[in-house]
Amino acid sequence: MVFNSLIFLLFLAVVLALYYPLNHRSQNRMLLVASYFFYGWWDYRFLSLLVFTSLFDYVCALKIEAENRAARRKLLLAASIFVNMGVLGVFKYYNFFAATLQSALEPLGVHLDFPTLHIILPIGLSFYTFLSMSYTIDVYRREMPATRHPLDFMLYVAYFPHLVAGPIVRASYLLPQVQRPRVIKAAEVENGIWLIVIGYIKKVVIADRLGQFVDWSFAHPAAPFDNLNAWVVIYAFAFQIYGDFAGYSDIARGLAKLMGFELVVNFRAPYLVTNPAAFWRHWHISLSTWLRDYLYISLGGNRQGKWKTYRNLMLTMLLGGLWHGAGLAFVLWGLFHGLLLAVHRWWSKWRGLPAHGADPHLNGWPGRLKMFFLAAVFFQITCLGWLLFRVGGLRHGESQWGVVKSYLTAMFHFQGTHLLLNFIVPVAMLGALGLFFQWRNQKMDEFSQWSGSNKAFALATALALITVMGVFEGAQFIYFQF
Amino acid sequence: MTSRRIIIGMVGLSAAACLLYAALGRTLARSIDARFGQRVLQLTSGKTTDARMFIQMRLREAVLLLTVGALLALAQLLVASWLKRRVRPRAAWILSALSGFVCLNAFALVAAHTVLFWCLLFTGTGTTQYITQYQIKCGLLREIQAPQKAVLLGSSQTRAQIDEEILNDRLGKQLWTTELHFPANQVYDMLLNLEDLPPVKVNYVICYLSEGNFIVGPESPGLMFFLNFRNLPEFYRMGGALTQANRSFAYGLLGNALPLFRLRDPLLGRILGPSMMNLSQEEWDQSLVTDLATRARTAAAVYHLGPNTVFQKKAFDVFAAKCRQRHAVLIVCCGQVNPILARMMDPSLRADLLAFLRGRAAEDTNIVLLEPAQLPVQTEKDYLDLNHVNTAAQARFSEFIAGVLDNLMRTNRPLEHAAR
Repeated sequence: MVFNSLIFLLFLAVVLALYYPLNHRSQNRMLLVASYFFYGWWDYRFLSLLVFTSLFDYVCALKIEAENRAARRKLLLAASIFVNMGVLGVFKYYNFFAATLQSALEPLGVHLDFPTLHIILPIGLSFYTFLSMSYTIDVYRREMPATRHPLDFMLYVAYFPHLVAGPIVRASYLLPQVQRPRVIKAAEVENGIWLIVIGYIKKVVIADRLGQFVDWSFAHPAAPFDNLNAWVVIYAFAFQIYGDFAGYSDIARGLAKLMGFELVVNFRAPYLVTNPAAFWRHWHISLSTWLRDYLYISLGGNRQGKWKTYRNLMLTMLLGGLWHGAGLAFVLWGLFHGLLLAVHRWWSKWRGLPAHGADPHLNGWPGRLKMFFLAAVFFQITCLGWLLFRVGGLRHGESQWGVVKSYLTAMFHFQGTHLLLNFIVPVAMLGALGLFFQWRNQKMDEFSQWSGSNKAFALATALALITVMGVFEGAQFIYFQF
Repeated sequence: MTSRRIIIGMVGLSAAACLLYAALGRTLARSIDARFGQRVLQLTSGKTTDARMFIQMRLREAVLLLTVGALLALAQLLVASWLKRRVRPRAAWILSALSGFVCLNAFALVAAHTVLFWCLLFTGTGTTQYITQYQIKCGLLREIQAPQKAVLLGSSQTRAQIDEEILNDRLGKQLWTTELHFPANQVYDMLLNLEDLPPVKVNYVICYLSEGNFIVGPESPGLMFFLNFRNLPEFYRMGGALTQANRSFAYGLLGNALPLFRLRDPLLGRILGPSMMNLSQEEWDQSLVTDLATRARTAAAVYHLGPNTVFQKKAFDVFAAKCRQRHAVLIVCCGQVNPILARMMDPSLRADLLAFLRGRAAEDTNIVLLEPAQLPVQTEKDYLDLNHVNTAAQARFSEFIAGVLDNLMRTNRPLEHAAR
């Protein structure tokens, strides 16, 4: 059941109709049933995995909290991490690692014959295992108490707006909202409606429209254009993936607001930033903070010297890449971003700039022009990464490296270039719409404060935009595969 | 306050435009015609016969659209201010947005009935959406000044077989033919097309029917542009079932409720450009096997009798009855497909088609059935693919149809002197 389907809208109507009249405890029970129904709609067999993961971590957290011996606590935490990573390993990474190991040892004359597992990846697995794991880690770190209510914890993990594609909301943030009675505020409902509407625009207008062009382009074994125009395909993908994922996050946040919940902001203005550190504070924020808090800091962060900081950055981003998909292209995409972060860190240190990469507030048009130029340059660099990311999603067997090579050759072939206006114009229009949402992202979150006529005008325009430009074939969200 | 001023200004402007048109419309059209008449005829490439009439009607439509736009904006302003006074602010903006959306749809509904609007969506020959071309030609049917009129209805096969320009070159002074095909049309879609025609006297309805119009199905893109809620009772009376209720069907009904939705493809063609909109067609073309025999083998497997055949035959009966009601002679060319495909198809399909059409022609004197043996012979060499003939074959066939029409008009007997 995807958010952009008729069946989901019917499901939502039923859930909301049932939700509002119920008391807090009944609301939680009903939401849990609804969330399991929502998840089971894809494949009910994977529900057992979701229930198992939740219950296992619930019990682990209780035992960790009750235990005072450091070694036992560590062991229990290790058990939780082992089970979560084990589930991920079996369902997501086993075939990739087996094949990689086989091909790596082949030149050394070692012939391994790992069996191939013919299993499909449970939808949203990476999201809910990270979500669940963060809870046991937080309890272990004594940053939050373990809950005594299994249903509350199960709802925290399975809550349908964030279940299959995030945001990865930390237990310390969402669990208290599950546990206490929610207050439905009219202003938040308005904000929720607007977030849902702009989420649909991002998904069905920007992402799915551009997706048709991107899919058509990548259906060819090589870049379909033989010159600089290949960039247009990558730009289209950049805005497609933004629309797809940011759209999903907006809808998820909007749905949560309708029910009195608050999920974290997952996207701000990732294509309007000037450096990689800022990019990761604007793109998939819930994952980057998760990786920072549970992986980068656990590895030592920046407290162990210059080289170890670079190592930690690279390692964190490599695993971040691997989180996205079991494939070499995703690993390289992670390394690419790790490298960008390391270079940026080195550059900032060298120039005496803040390492966190906050964009300086430059006044006047020369400052703005400089920011615009830097953002445009950094966008090109981000797009190179998106090429790897898109190729990682190819399923039809041709050489992924062949595709990357053909695109890179085309993208940097500066001779005899003619502009493919018939594709540049629509990509630019839809991209501009995406940039508009990024530019005004703060304003979008404050919808309830707009004047009544502005709200009415915005909603009518949005409805018209979705009606005319939306793709209603129920396309899957890209991040479901992760 | 600013929006109120703008709307009041718009209403004033449209009132002025109406007055100006009433006073000077004809004169203006005449003077534009004097300067640009030839260019207009050239641009419309034979779709209109009278440049002055064309210009005058477009001016009228421009005034109409301006007026409707201004009135709807005014209505929206009044509704919004009423809501502001009477409804709680939390709900007022939502209702106001919905009324704005309704106004936009109302405007789209009016605009879709004007040729001017469709002309604005025209992106050039070969790149424009079929629906845009269809609506322009359909709208211009009202303006054609000819003693008699004919329309060509059917799928792309009808378009490939009969060239309206050849018919109009030969018979244009007595009979003007407008080609209104829609790709992948089946008989039910043709029935919807017939009901969609403007209320003008049409003397002849010509269609080229082959196995594909009755057998392959049930997804036909035409439904999404022509199906309305009012068609549903008849659809179910004809035995239409959920098998026909596919995506096009649902989109058709949604489009009937939301005119903006129905206009999405042509609007997108204009906004995003035809290249973006033709990607799926291009993908389809690329996926086609180049070897015709292999393609025919795959296609032949799809051609079979089934519930859709029964439904399409019932649709034909209603189609024929509606032609009779309109006092339009129904000329049915009992057509064929590429012989390569015909050889691979179940032979009973052809027999079934012929028996059905002969039976109906025997019962209904309003149907002029052109038997396969009477039609110009078309061999494998005449075909570009499995269904569509080349221009030489098209020209021969069009000349033959021109002869048929000429005979019908003169002697009421279709095949006298018709060159085969």
